[in-house]
Amino acid sequence: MKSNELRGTGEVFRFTLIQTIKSKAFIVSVVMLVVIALLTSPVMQLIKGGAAGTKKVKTSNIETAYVCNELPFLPTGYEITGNVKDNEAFANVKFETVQDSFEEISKKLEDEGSETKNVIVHPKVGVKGITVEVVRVGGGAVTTDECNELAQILCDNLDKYKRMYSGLPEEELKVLDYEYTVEINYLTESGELTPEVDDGIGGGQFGIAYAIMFIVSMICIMASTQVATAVVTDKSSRVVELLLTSVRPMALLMGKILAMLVATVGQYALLMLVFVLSNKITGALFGTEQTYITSLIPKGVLSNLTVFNAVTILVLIALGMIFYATLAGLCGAMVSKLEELQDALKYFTFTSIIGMYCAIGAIISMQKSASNAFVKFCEIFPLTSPMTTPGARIIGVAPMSYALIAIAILIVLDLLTIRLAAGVYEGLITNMGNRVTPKEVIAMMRNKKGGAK
Amino acid sequence: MSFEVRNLVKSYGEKTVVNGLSFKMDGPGVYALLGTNGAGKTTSIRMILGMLKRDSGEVLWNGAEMQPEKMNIGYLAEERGLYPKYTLLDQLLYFAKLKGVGRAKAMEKIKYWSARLQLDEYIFPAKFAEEEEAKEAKKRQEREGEFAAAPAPKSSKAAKAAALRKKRNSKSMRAEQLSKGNQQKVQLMAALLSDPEFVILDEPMSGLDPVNTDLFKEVIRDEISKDKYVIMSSHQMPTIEEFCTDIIIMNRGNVVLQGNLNEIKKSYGRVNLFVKCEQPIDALIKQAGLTVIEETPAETQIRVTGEEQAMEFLQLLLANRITVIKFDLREPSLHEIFVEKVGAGNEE
Repeated sequence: MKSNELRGTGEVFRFTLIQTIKSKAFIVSVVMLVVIALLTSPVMQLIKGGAAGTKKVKTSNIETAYVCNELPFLPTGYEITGNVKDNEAFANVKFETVQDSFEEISKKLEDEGSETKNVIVHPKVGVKGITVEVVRVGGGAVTTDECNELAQILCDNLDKYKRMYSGLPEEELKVLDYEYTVEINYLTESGELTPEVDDGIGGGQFGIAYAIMFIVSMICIMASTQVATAVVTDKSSRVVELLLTSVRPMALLMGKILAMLVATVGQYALLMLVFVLSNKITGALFGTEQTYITSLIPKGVLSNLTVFNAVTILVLIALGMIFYATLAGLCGAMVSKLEELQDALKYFTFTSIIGMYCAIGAIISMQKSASNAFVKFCEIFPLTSPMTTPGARIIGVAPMSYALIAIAILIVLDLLTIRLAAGVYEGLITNMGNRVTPKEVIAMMRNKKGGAK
Repeated sequence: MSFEVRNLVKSYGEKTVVNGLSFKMDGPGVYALLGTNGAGKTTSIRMILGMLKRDSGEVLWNGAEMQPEKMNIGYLAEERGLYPKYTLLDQLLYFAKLKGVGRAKAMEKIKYWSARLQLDEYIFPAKFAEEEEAKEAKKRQEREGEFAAAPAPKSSKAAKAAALRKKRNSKSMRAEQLSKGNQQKVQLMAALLSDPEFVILDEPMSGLDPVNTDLFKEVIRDEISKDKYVIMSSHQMPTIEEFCTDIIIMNRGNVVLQGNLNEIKKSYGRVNLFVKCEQPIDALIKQAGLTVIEETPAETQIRVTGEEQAMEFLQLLLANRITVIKFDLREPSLHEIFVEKVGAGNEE
């Protein structure tokens, strides 16, 4: 690639980017996406999080809790409410053990009226096991969240007392905490015991890998279609002849590709930023550290995201986008009217759909095994690697060597595609006639003849 | 400085669309490319500009291979083009920047050309509205005299609405909002913004009304006077005769005539005789053995072999006591040369 072939790329990039950002279609889509990003977290919190009792109580309104204990196994001297006061929210609550029956104490609470800040704590043994019942006055000052949190603390206490009630020494009690691990091994022909490795990904990891694949695919498709449209617009509006007196076709193509990528990536980056901010605000508004959306993200998922890993992922995604955008630009160069673009884009659509479906297949099969041949192929195959490998790297199932191989392959492929696209673009740039077929493009490249009038 | 095209050839499959085009400009001037539709003029221009690959031949600037993207070239294409949805100002700034003109300089140039080509209304609507308002106010003042009552102050609501309207109208228009002629003016402006040393005008005046044609001619005349290298392609022969010193006539890709326009005309000799008399002269024309090319109420055009035959015919008219109103012996017009050359080529 000679340097004068790229002269003017910066100007083309700036102009295309500014005009794209100023366009009504872009503004409307950004506004719509930002509104969706803003509302997703609070709406999900209202629907799921609010009712699930995740709201953390700061200071409880409860004044007195009447403890009506019906459990038979509490050791003498132990109180079910033993360490409740260690919790800041319930530090001021007065616990009063009552000897009256539950019916009598319920009547008493009822008589106190709706203004009362007292509750009944009623642990009992039921058919299914222990039930910790907390009773409040409907419509009173005490909320369901407070009762839920108090009950949870009491349950934790009871768990300790339950173990003590068993009378087993501490060492033996540890046995009860042992977890199970299933290991299936097989004997090879040589008689070696070989473990059957289960390296499938979990639901949370799948969600992350799928979300990244989906976002990258969307960016690739959106930006690429815009590149094709921009290429045809230059031709259909006949501006291209004027532009070509100042810049080479390669610079025109590269400027457009980069501008559309920046516009689309910027759009999604803004979306993510708004989404994160909205999630933070939702957490503050609902008084919880973990919103419903945050609870869906597996813990420690970002632990693989080191600076080097992040750079590798971004480079891979950028190279993939350039590949798809160049392919779309090539399709755009084959026509001279906007109404013919859809037809010409079928080659790009076909390629991107293959890439996207293979990537989906790879991520689905990662649930069974993240190291099967299809997954590994998709991690380096240029049509799928930009969509599959970033997610796989983040959830830690793709080795760095695969990401580097994918980058190397994409660099070579990008250079070849750009060279081909620029050649075709240059050859057909003044073609204002009918759509050129791929067969004609190949013949043209073979003959190295420029243009057809 | 010199510009030279050597043996330019371009073929599409079996068909040769430009066959050995060569010409040279040793100094500033205007070179005309003439030809019928499909003669190969635009293809030649595109090859000169490097937009189309040539099969063979050379395009030289100062003796070295011309690199159009490194030169300051102004090009008005035959296929007029502007981005329909973008504002005119944005587009013009973009075209100027691609030519390496800085923003401030570009704005200065845009303002100059916008005023000169009467495009302020579309490129700087706010400025135009202000100027129009000022003109209107001045006229009103002149009409009503100095003591005319001042206009009543606008209510704040009306003032706000007017300000809003003004703000909305202050934006440069989009290309799709302009007429074809005005779009053509914007494109001429785009071609000349960078003050190019080399200008290519492909059919510059096609589709323009007489007023705008004159405006374009004035601009082209100015560019020529600045010692620029201009290549012009046109179907309008009087325009070519008005501006060009050298011509090439192309037909089906081949050069059928080439050279200095005056010398070409001279080589044809003064063979066109335009006569107007008070009495009918048909019988005398027959008697002299001459051929009538065209007869109009204003004059009769007769083909003669040269000055000698013309003088003999004049003597014949006078001998027959014919009152001669007009007797004009001229070289053939470019139009006639063109029709003769291209017609002959087509017959072949």
